[in-house]
Amino acid sequence: MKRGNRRAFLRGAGVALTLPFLETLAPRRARAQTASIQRYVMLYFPNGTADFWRPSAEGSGDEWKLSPILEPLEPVKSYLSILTNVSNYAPFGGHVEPSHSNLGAATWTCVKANGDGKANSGISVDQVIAKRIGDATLLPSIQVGLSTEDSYTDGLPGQHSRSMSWKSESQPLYKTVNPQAVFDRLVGDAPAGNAEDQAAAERRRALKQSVLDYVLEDATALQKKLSASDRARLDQFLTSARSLEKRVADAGMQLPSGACPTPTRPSETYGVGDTDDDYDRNHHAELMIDLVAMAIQCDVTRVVSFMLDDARSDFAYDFLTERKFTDTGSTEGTGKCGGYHGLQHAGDRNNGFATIGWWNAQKASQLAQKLLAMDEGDAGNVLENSLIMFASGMKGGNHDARELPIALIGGGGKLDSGTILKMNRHLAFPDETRLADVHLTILQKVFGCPETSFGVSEGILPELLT
Amino acid sequence: MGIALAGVACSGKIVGTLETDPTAPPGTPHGPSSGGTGGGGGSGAGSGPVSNTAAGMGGLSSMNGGTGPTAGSGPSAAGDPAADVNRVPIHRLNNAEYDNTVSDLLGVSSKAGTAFIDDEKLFGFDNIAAAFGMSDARYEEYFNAADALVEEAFADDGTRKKLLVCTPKSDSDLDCAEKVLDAFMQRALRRPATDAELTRASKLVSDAVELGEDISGGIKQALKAILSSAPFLYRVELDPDPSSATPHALTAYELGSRLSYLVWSTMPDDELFEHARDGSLTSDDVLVAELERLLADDRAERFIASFGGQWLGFRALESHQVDKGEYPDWNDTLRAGMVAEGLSYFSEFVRGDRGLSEFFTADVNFVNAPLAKLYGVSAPSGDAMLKVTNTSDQRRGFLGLASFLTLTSFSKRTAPTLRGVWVLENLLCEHIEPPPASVPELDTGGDGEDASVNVRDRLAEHRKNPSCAGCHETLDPIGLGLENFDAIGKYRTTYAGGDAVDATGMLPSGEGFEGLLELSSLLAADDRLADCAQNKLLTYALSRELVASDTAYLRSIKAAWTADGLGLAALLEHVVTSETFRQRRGEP
Repeated sequence: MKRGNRRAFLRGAGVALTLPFLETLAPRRARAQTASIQRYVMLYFPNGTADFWRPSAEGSGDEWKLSPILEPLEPVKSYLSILTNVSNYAPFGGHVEPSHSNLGAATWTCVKANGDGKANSGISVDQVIAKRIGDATLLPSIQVGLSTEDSYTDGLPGQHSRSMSWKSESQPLYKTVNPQAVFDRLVGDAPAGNAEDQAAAERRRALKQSVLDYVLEDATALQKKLSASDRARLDQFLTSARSLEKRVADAGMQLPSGACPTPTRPSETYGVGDTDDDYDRNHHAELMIDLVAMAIQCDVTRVVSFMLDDARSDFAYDFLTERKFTDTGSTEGTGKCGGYHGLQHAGDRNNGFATIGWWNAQKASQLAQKLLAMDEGDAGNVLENSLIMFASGMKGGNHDARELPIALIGGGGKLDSGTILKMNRHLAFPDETRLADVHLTILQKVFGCPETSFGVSEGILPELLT
Repeated sequence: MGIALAGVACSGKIVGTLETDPTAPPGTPHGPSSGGTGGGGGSGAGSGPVSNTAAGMGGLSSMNGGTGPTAGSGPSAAGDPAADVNRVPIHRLNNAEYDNTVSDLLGVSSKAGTAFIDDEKLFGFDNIAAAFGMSDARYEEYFNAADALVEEAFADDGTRKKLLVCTPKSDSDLDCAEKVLDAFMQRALRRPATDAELTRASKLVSDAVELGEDISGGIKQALKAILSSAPFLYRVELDPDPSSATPHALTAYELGSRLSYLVWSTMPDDELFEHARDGSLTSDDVLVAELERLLADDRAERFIASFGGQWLGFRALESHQVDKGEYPDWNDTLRAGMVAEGLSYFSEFVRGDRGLSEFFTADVNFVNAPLAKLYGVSAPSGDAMLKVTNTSDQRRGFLGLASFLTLTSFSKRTAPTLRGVWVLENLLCEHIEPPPASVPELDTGGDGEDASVNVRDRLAEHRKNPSCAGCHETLDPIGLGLENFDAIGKYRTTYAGGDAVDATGMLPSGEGFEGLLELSSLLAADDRLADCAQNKLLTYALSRELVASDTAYLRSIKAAWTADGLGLAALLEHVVTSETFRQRRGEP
């Protein structure tokens, strides 16, 4: 099934990426037997948020209203839960202010980077979920992001600033910021046109297979000559080459079917320190949102890690016109936003900082709305069967790791018959509720993971469940 | 002559970069690289404990005349940990090295690596072998790039002919194909291919022909495979016995790669390969001559940009934020001029004949048009950078470079503490702990703080708090001495708010000064700069963290280098000819 999806999506008629997708494929296998939430997206923004994030009232349904920063999420409010009073101080040994650069990873691992100069963290939430459900798709997970600047690391190993997905405590999964590379990874190299000669395609597949056979045989021979630690390094190479080999073999064996739409390959090839003069972060974001939506619709993967920006980014958001915020909303203002980190420390009620938060919420909303528009037949829409965790690891200008901005977007999920998470509410936890416990609850109760602990977790949170 | 920092009453925690704290890369704890404001609580103030790296390093800062190992001898100076040539892990090419290498190999011009997943940095550099892993997404980038680059090379008559060292007579001319592969693999693997490797690659050609490719398609197939293989993507140095700690010499090919990636960030060229083939590269004379040849070549600019650009912050300036409202002169051309000036300045010390003793005092600047305006000198007529001396505004030496002065400022105003911390950390290799969480922030540097603020007064207020004073009395003086230069490095005598600039200060040693010129003269006598430079260079050259067992090598390099007058080209020579650069060991 999954392979059919992918091939199908290669063959369509060159629909531009920005056009709405066609209906998704037929219902996927094995849905009835497991939790209906089948997809997990961790959507991260750095630097915390201005004061206009927290909704004024608690409660559910009509009892609570969106805050000024969250206002762009109005179209998906019924799929939205805001969690407040959640803290992530525990990994840092109490109220020791974590640096920015700890928080890219620690938000999703709830483990302190130990700062010994090596990659060292914990496994991240998405990778625990990928272990559970990743085998069902071509790619167990993908990691994408938008930062085109060298991330600032506060003297710590940079992995913690620029990588929030950790396959193990020593293997960060770096994100791809290049839209074309993300597309190529999702699509492989099959041409978008539909006139391709089947024999030629088969030959190309065989040639690729032959290259990978060589690569694996060659690396295996090299492996024998290395020391123990170098063998472990080369193991990462062998694992990656084998993954690709498996994919090349699988894809070639499938016949195209289904209705997965064909987007146009993006021409944009952004890299860190490598953007055009007319680079537009909003355009970059929308390209990436389209690619993530495509990956989900075509069922290439069900686990996505998406960094809207790197920890402590000071990227100049001067493509954004500042909005004027009050406690009840915002209106378009004048002037451009500046560097993100600078604005973070220019007061918790400053309009520039709040506007960047508003833009982040708008991106979350755009992604959610794309999933909402995808029909899954009897199972409803794709958003209902997904969980987006939209969050930062820092409160705001004071660097606190408490009162974190956290939003869950998606369906409540149906485990056999009952709803798991109650959506459309503002849930204020007791102070200092651990972020690790939020993750653990999602892992166990939503995705059915066998893990009994996560990071510095203490237990599941019954309040989060219905 | 150093500025005595040891014993500062901050935390009492002495952190020795070499022995105990491998994390200590350059860059301030909450750095200035992105304008903005103070990062963590109090980071704007930069208040934090200072520890004397030198103390932790066992006195490396004052090791003139120390005796250490010479090539071939093991014993270390009394008190030093035993010398160990150590080992470098298999070393994946970084993205710049990848682009340079495929360009040399294939003659292609496209730069696939610039849009690859970003490289990891560690200890301040992007070439540290231990920092580099592999992931599925990254491997697919390499795999796809190999395909595209080989197709690009074969689409061009000139580049194709260079690769095809013989012309296949037919699709079954495997002898010719094998000659092509043999020649290619020697360069791609940076050593001759083994028989088994060549056989394996040749089989790719025949298999492809069987699948219906012509002989050219078969050769392309093999080249793609080689460019996707581990021995190309990783620089591999082998140990005769991978589990033995006994040091052994690198092969001449391995040494050639170390040298070419150090100076050119790419694979060896034909001449270097020739010296590897006949083994002559392992001799001192040839090794030194080759280093000199490489340094004289234009490609040595990559060393300037990579090593110098990372060490001295010119690369970080690329993503630094300046508030255009506060500084209307700021634009990308000015930024580019600052970066170019920094690199040219550093080049004076590597490819020119200036000694490091002039680093703080050299009266030389390089300007493009907007930078000339900033400095108040005549603008060059074209786009090229113009070398100038005697700028009229008391500007001199590294601390007078607009790139440094800008990078270490906030977006709207100067930050003396950040300037001081940057110099201490990056030029003197002091390790400075981030400020304790209990220390209040000086200010935000954000909307409420613009160029009109008298920063000296603000810092003085901050130092009234006893918990801040201990550190700031150490951290602030250097930056206060530079207050005549605003947040983009323009000379000034008053703040925008009208207060006169006071650029006096006193170093912790008790030496007083006023302004950049006097401060720079004092710093010029500080021998920690030389120690720091060699720590940085040896880290970069070995592509690994320095540890206690490198102390003896540092000591011996320093002794020889001092005798040679402390020029950076001489430092390179002593690094390259050192035992630790030319040997390695297995891993028991």
